[in-house]
Amino acid sequence: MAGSSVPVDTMPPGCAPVHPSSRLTGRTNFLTLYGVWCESVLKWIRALGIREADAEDIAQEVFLVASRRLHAFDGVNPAAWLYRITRRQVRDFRRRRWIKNIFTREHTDAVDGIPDQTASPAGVLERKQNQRILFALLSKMNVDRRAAFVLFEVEGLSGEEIARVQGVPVNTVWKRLHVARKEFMALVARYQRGYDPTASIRGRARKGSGS
Amino acid sequence: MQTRDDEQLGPLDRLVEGAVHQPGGDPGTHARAVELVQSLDPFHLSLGRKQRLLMSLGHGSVPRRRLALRPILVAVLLMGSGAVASAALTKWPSALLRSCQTLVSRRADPVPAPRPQPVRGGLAPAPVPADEPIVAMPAHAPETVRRASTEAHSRRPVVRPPSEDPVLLIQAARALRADRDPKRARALAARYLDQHPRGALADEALAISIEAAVDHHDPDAAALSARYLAQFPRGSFRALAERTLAPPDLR
Repeated sequence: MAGSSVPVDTMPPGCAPVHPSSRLTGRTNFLTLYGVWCESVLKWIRALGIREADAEDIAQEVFLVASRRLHAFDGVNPAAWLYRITRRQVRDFRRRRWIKNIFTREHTDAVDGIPDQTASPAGVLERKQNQRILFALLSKMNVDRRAAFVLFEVEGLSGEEIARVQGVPVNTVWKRLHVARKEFMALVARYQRGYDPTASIRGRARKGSGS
Repeated sequence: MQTRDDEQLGPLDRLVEGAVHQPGGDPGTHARAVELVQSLDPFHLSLGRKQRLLMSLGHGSVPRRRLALRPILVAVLLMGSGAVASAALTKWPSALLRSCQTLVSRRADPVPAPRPQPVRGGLAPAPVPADEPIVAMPAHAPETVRRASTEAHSRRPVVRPPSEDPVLLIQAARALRADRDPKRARALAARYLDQHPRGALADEALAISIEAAVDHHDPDAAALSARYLAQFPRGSFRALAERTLAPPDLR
């Protein structure tokens, strides 16, 4: 994006806008891109089903790729451009992890942020268990539908914002959300009937440890 | 382009904002789904974490993909798979195994194989034709046979298989030349031919048999000569065989 700047209308909510007339180049331009989109990239990574522990590594990869390809970016829709990079990096990460998990144990008990001091231990445990179930259920869904579902239901993005990020028409987003909710409800119902979505993950981890 | 499905699937309310459950759906399932979704807070990036990520980007602490290693890795994999395929499809592993077995059996056998004794000059061998075989074996190289013949254009020693023992032929030559015992010489040569019909010294053995048959005035000398010529048309002892076949006045 030699000479192009980050458009204001595609800024994530709460970000300081960059004046469209300002022509930023090189390092400054990358810093602007990073400052504006870092949080969004991490959101997308989580929405694509990656745990907190691995999210920063993938975000680094995303911005490294972005810095290398910034000169070729036309500057039209940075959200869609970064989302595409993120999606590719997440896919590559999953492949690498799959190969790595052949030889090593998959760590399912990653530390998910700082514990909430106000909640009781039982409440924290229940919340973590719910998060594990949620991620396990979401992992059964299609990648694009899952991302749209999380961005809409958890992150609170509107359909239009998701459409801009995913680079698809708004109607496609609504369709994805309808199907995703239907799938999610079916998975929850199945879970309530006794299906354990985390069993396969635990089984893989146990197999990896050889116990 | 808007399809009918897209028209029907309009904007949604969020689950956490009180979206009503499906008409045919289970209220318990709906409540559980809301509970699960609510367990995850909206993502919030702290300033410190953002700065840390930026620092790691700026200092290049993230390892770049080692693209240069990929072709090397692919080449190694290809070579490895090629070697495996070659081993599976060709005979060299069995040849390697055989040579290893030979080596092991030699090491396991402490008794050295009997070395062929060279024909000594003091034994006064009978006069032989110019193309007489030299069956003398050098003491230091028992496994090689040198033929002093026109056939052996190169001086490269003939390596015979380890199982083939030239002792019989040496004894036959000694019996013929030193002991003047053509009968025994013929028997020894015949034994060698029985054991190694296509051995490296088969033509020498046949030539000794012819010579012994001539010395002993055996009637089958001509038959042996004919067999020799049929078996070794360009053999080193062709002259001997032809001379034996020739009428007595022309010999």
